[in-house]
Amino acid sequence: MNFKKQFKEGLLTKNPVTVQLLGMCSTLAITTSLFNGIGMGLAVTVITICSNVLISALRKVIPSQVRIAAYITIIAGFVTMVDLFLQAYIPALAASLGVFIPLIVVNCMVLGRAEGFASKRGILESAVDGLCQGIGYTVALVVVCVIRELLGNGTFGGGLLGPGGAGIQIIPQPFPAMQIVMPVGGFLVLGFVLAGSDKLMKYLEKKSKKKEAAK
Amino acid sequence: MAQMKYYYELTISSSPHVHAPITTQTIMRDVLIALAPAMVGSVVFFGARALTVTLVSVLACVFFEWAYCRLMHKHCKVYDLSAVVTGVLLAFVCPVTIPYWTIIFGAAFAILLVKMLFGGLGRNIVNPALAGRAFMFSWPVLMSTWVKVGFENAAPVIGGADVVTAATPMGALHALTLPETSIMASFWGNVGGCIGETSAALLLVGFIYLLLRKVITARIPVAFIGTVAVLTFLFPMGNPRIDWMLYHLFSGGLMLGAIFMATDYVTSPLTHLGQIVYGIGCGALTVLIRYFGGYPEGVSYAILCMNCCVVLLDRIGRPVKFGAPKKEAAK
Amino acid sequence: MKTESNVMYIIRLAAILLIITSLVAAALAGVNSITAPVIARLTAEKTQMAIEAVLPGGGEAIDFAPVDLVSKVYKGENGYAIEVTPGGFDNTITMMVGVDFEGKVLGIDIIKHTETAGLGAVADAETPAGQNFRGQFVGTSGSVAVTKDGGAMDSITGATITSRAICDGVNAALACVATLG
Repeated sequence: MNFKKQFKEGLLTKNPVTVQLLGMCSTLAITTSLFNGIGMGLAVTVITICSNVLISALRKVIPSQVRIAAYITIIAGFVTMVDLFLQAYIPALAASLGVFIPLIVVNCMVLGRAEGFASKRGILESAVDGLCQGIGYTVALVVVCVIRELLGNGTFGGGLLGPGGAGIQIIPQPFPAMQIVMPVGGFLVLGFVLAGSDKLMKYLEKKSKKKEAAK
Repeated sequence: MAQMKYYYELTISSSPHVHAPITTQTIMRDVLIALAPAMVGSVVFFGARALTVTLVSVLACVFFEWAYCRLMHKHCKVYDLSAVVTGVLLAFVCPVTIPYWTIIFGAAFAILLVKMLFGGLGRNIVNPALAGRAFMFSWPVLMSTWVKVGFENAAPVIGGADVVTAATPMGALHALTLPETSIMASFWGNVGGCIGETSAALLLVGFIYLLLRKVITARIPVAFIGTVAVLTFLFPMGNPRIDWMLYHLFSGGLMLGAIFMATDYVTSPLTHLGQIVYGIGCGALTVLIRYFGGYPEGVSYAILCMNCCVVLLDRIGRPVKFGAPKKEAAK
Repeated sequence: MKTESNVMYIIRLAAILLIITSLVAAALAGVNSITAPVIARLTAEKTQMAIEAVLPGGGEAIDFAPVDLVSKVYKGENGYAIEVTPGGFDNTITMMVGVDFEGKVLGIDIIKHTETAGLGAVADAETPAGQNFRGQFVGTSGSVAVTKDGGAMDSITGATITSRAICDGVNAALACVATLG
């Protein structure tokens, strides 16, 4: 088990959002404030860890012919639990994310980790994988959120910081471009984030190659 | 890469080669000449600010294209005037009261994101000016403030918070009522609206010029405007239906969009059949958005949507190669 | 493979799926039993807060004779809170109008809408423009209209249709209170 490698994969080289392009629906829809991004990211991380652990534990019991049905049932169970807990104890987040919490069931990232990783590996390894992939997802979401919120609303930390949780106004009104927090802005900003992460990865690869050459 | 720098001036194609004195620059110059009557009209209707807004828009577009080329170490082709046309069209689809900073943002979006990032002129998927307008709806209040026409109400060149606002024909049509202004006012352009769109008559003068110079063909504009005419005549929401149809034809951005934007070479289909389908699609979407959409005007979104379909429309109506077997025979 | 063993195999698959599904269902039932009372309490509080936002002291739902656009009527010690659903620019707007026993508007609160962001949506915004717009209805009676229609209400910039819809809603609420006496 290589925790460092798994972490690097989750965060950058196999990031669920910027490299695997999974979970696009929520990435485009809810990334309009920091609060939404962190909330969604944490919810997905918790669900991925739980489903990875349970599916890894049951990997020898579940016959391969019905595995997808079994995975989806387990994932849907965890999603509904998280949904109920959020509605009961963090109603603000539940109201803000709305239908996108139940829709985590069809977030391909969760099923992708179950099918691609947890069904073949040990419990501890799967838990770490769920955590790393979840962090990668959360970081990508937060990056998109911060950019969209800043350009589209002129604020930072909406839902968390500032007076009444409205965020700290950085770009004064009326200059923020509302379209950026509209759906079209989601596609635009995601495109630039994908390009940026690609560039960053190429840069890091070059650097590590240089290092090896120097050795 | 040094020897590659001027590759665009090399055209490799099979013979025969016919030399024609037509370049992007001459075409764009003709488009600018065709837009001139509407420009003059807008100054008459809305005052000098119409001209200054257009100038700012043009300068911003040219600057952003030049700056992008400098930063990306690309050969700068600003002299082909395409950025100037984009600038004029962008200003023409904005209200005269639009603050200068807003139109500079719109120009940046149009040139940098829509045109240059896709590879510059000839490679953009959608019309830059219309995409810039769509982006400028980030400030919907600024984009929907309509001044009363006439010199006494002209918006000042600088500042301009206190203007006399007025309803536009499009606003009335969207509320499913006939406008208070007459059809002739809509035809001549003596009504509220965007800088360059109000006068159907002056835009038609430009249309005739472009047709005579053979810069564009009539296919797309006629299919576009014809579809709007047929649909509004068949499904009127106000009485009498002929009035309803004429208001829809002469109000809003239909003439400007159909003549100058839907006909953009880069973002319209090449085949004749494709062009007709494209025009009909633009017209149908325009009417749908005008009737059921969130904003009163739908021409710009209709053209943007159809721009995205051009790659498919280019596949229909291709001429059969001379001597090539027919499809049935080929099977 | 023999037919019997195939049947057994399918039954085994189904049984495993059934067990997994049952376990998930049992776990969900457990979670639901914990959260259901909390969620029910929050929902009731939310409705009560929407009523109290326009009617100090809150109120209880009462029966009423059907009036156009009116969906619910709550009665409290200070007056009525009427839930109305006028047709906005895009779709119906759900809003709460507080009216006292003399037929004067106590306040309006928009619960749900799909108006254009930046234009009609100002009606629901917690900005000075939105607060001013909603505030001008307080104290009105009889019927209201926007200035464009000869009334006294300033419409939201660029959103006359939405402003008219809100006026329609307030008028419906006032008409409903008139029938209640």
